[in-house]
Amino acid sequence: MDSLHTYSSELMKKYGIKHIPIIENMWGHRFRTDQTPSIIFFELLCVIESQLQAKRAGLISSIFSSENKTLYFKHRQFFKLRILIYQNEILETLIHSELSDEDRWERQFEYLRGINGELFQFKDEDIEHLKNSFSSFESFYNAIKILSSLTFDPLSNKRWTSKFIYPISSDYIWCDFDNRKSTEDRRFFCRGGELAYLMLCRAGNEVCEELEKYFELWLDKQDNSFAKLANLLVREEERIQLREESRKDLGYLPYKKLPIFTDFANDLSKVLSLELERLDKVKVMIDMVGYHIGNYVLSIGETYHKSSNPAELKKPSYLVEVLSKATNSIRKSSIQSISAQRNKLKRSLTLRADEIIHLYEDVIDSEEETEIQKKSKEELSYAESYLASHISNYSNVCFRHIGFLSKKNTRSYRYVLTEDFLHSLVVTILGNEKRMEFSNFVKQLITQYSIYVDTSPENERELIQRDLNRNSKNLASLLYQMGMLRHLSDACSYVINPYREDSV
Amino acid sequence: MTWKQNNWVKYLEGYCQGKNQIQDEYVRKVAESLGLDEPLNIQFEWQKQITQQFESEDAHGVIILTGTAGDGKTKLCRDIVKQIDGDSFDEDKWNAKSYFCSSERTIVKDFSELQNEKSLVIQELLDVLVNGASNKPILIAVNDGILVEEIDNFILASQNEESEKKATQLKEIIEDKINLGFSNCEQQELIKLINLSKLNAKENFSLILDEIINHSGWEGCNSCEGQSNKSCPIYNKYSLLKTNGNIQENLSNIILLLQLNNEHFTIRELLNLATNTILASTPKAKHLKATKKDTNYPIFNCNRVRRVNSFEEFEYESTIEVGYWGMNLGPHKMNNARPYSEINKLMFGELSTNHWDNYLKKKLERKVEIPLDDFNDLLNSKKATDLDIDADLWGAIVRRSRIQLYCYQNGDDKAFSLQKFASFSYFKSLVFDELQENDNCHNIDLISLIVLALNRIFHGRYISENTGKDRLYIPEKDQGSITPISIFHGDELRDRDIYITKVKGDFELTGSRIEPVIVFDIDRNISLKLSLTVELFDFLYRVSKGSPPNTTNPRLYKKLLIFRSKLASQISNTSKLSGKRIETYTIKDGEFRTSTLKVNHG
Repeated sequence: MDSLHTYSSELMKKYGIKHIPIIENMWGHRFRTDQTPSIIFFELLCVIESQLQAKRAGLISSIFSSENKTLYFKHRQFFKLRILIYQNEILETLIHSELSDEDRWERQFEYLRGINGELFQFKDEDIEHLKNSFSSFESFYNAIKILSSLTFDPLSNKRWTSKFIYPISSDYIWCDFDNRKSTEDRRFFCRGGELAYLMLCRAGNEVCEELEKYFELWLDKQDNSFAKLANLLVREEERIQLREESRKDLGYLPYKKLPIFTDFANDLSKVLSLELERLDKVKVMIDMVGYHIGNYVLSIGETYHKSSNPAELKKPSYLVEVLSKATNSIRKSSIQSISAQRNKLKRSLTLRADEIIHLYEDVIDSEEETEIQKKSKEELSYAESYLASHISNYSNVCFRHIGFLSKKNTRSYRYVLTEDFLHSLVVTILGNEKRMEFSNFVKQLITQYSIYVDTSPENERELIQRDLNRNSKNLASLLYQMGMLRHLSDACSYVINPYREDSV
Repeated sequence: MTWKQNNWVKYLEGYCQGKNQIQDEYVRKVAESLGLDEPLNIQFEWQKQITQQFESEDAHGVIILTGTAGDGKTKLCRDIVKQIDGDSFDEDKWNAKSYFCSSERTIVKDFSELQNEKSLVIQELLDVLVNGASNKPILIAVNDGILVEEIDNFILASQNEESEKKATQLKEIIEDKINLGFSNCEQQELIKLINLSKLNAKENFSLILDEIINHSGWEGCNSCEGQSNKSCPIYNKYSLLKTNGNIQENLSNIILLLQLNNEHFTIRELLNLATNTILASTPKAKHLKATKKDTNYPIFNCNRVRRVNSFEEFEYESTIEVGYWGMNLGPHKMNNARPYSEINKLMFGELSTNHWDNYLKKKLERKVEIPLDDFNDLLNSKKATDLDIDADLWGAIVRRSRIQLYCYQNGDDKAFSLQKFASFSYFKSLVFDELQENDNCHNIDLISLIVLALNRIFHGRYISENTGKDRLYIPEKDQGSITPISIFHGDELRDRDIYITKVKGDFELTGSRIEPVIVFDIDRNISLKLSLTVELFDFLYRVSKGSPPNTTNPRLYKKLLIFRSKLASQISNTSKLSGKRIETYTIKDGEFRTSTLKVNHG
C-alpha cells in the first residue's frame, strides 16, 4: 500500500532549519500567517515566470513537472519601476511646481541618479530610456499615477520592496526583497507560493499540460496599455540565470500526489481559459489559491487525525451560512466545526510526531535516555507552538482573506458565503457555461468544494431543516442581488454567468 | 325584499382559495355542482392561435408549452385536442391519462406526471433533431426546468455518444428559449417553444376582469336587497368596475409595469387577483384601516354579507384597492404571497410628489372623487398641532387615499409618480408603445439618455450632458469588471449603433408580451444585448438626472460593470484603434474627454 506522504530526513540541512522539521514533514516547508493568499499568488507567479525562463533556456522540459524542485533563474526584480512608483518622493513636488518641463526633468533625473545602492540607482541608459519615452513631464507623471493605482493593499505600511501591483501583465511580476540588506528575503515570500507551485506540478499530466499552455499565454508579451506603460518607464530587465552552485531549492511538499492538487490545478486552468478581463482573473485566482491552500492544511488534519498512515485523503466539509442577522443552527454548527477541525490538526501532529523525530535521531542523540526524552519533548513542544502560530490559524487567514470566513454578527468565526467569494465560485463552477440550474449549482458546491448550504454534512446532527431551507433561499437571494440569478418560477431558477449569457 | 344567495358569487369565491381549487378539472366540477351553465371560460386569442398552429394540415413539428404552475398549459392542451377531435373527444379518457402517443400525434398533457414514458418522449424529440424533421405533430406541456432536468438525467444514463451529443444540443435549445426567449443553436427552428410565462399578463388580466364583470351570473343578484339598496359591498365593487373602464385600465397597467420588469403572473394568480379585488372584505392590519370596522373573514360572500349588522363604513373600508393590494389578507400575505407581494413591492401610496399630495388635499378642485374623501380634513391637518390624531389612522388614510387616487384617475400621465418607478410613464410612451407598433425604437432622446447614464456608470465620473450623450466610451479591456473607475480608453460606440428592439420568440402570438432589449452593434456581425426592464430604465433615468450610480441601485450597478467588461472584450477584438495610442479618460474644464498620453512609442 502506497503511503500518501514521504518523510524527509534532509530538511534541516537543506533549508537550514534549526529544529526537527516535524511540521515541515507534515504540511511542508513552509506556511506562515504573514503570507496571505494574494502574496502566495504573487510568489507563485514569480516562480512560474522563473521556470518559464528555465524552460526557454532548455534547463527543464516543462514548467509544471513533478520533477521540478529547483529554481534556475533569479526572480524578476524590476527595481527601477518600483522606485518610480514607490520611492520617487520628488515627483509630487515637481509636478506642482512652477518649473519648466526641462527643469523638472533635470531635477527628476538628478534624484534618480542619486539613489543609494547599485541595484537601485538609475544609470545613464535608464535615464535615456525615460527621455526617449515621454515628451512631457505631465505624461510621465500620469503614467506613474496610473500604475500606482493598481497597488495591492495601498494603505499598508510595508517597505517599498514588499509592495506589489496586481500582476495583470507579466511586467508587474516581481519578488519580495530586503532593500536594507539588498537581498531577497522570506519576510513575505515565505515559500507558500513555492508550495502552491509544487502542488500544481503534482496535479497530473493532462491538467499540467493545459495549465502550462495557459500560463505561457498569460506570461507572454502583452499589447495592452498597462504593458506599454511599463515598457515606456523602464528598460527590459535582463533575466539572470543562476550558476549551478547558486541554484535554489524550492520548498518541500511531503505529498507526491493528492486529488486536491488536481482540483487546484483544474480551477486555475479553468479561470485562465475563460474570456474574462485580466484583473478579474487575478481576483478569482487569488480566491482559488486561498481556498485550496486552506483546504490543503485542513485536509491533512482530516486525513491523519485517526491514523498516521491512511490509505486515502479525506476532505473537510464546510457548512456555510449565507450571511444573516439572526443566529441559527447553521451558524452554531459552523462555529463548532472550525474548532473540531483545529483539534484534528493537533491530533494529527500528536500521532505523527514520534515517527518524524525518529528520522532525526542523530540530532537528539545522547547517551542518557532521559536526555533524549527531554529533547524529544522540547522538539514536540516547539512543533506544537509552530502549529498553533502558523498552521492552526493558517486556513482561517486564507479563508478570511477571500471572504469564506467571517465573524460578522458573532463573536467567533464561521464559514460564510460573501458576495466576493460567491462571485469567484460562480465563475469557476459555471466556467464557459452560460447558466446552470440553481439546485445543480448547489450540488456542485458540495462536489467541487465540499461547501454545504442546504444539506447537512455527514456528521452534523444538530441542524434544523428549516434553517437549511432558509439558507438556500438566502443564497438565491444573494445571487439575485449580484445579478447572477434568474427566477423563472417558484420551482425553477437559473444561476447565470453574466460574462457569457447572451442577454444580461 | 330579501337577501339572495347567488351561486355565481359562490363560484367566484372558489378562485380566492388555494391553488388546487383553481385547477381546470376541479373548477368544471364546481360549476356543474352549482348549476352554472357557463363557468368562467375566457377565450384567449393566443389559445386560438396555438390551436390553429397545431391542427393545421402541415403542422408537423414539436411544440413545447412551458411555463409555471397555473399558466394554463393543461387547459390549453385539452382545448387543442377537443378542438381537433370535436365530438369524438372523450373527457374521461382525457382525464385518465397524461400521455397519448400514436403514429398520428403525440400529446403530453403534463410531463411531470409521466413515469417510464419520460425517456420515450425525450427520444422522440431527439429523433426530430437526428432526422432534421418531425413526421407528426408533437405537443408537450411541461413546467419550467422539469424537461431540462429529465434531459440531464437522460444524458447521464446515456451510453451512446451520438445520443448524448444530440441530447446536449436539445437541452441547450430548450434552456436558451426558456431563459432568453430565443436560441442561436443549430436546428433550434425544429423545436418550437411557447412559454406561457411570456404572455401578456396585462392583457390576460383585462380579459379575465372583463369576462367576470360581463358574465351573466351577476343577473342572479337582481332583486336582492343588497343590490337594490346599494348596501352590498360585492355588488358595489362590481358596479364600479363595470361603469368605470378607467379603473380597470389603471389596475391592468400595474400588471403591465410588473411584467415589463420580468415579473410574470399566471392565469391562476390573475384569477385570484381579480376575484379578490371584488370580494375582499376590509383591511386586516390596523395601520391600513380607515375605521374600526372589523370582519373576521378576508372575503365576502352572499351569506356573510347578509349577516352584517351595519353597512355604513363599507363604502370606504371595503373598496377596490383593499382587494387588489391584498390588504384583506393581512400583512404577511400582502408581502409574501404572489401576486400581492409583487404589487406591494412597487410601494404605491408610500411614495408621492407635491403635485399629487396637493391634488389629494384640494378635494373641491379635483375632477376625481375617491371614497376616502370623507377623511379629507385629516389630510389638511397638521400632525404637530392636532395631537389626538391616531398615527396609524393618518398613515392609513394617506396611503390608501393616494392609491385610490391612482385607481380612479383617468389617463393622467403623472400617475406613476405614486410608486417606485416614477419614470414608467416615460418608459411606456417611448419604449413600450413604440415597440407595440414597430420592431425597433431609435428615438434619439431616449438613446442619448441611455448613453449618458451608461457613460456615468462605466467611468465612475459625473460626465456632463455635453460630452456624454452622443457616444458610449468603452474602456480598454483588462481593467476588471469590478473597478468603478476605468483608466484607459478602448473605443467608442456612436449613438446610431445603439437601438432598442424586442425579443422575438418562436411565435408571434397575440398576447405575447413585449420584452425590450437594448442592442449595441459592435460591428456587422457582433452585437451585445441588455434587457431593458422598467427597473433598469428607471435606474438609467435617475443616473442621467444626476443620481450616483453605485448607491441608487447597487445590484444593477454591479451588473452593468460586468456588462462593461463584456463590451470591452468585444471591442478589443474588433477595434481598429487597438495598439496605436494610449488614451486615458480625463475631466478637463468640467468636460469628460479622452486624452492621449504623450509618449513616444518608437
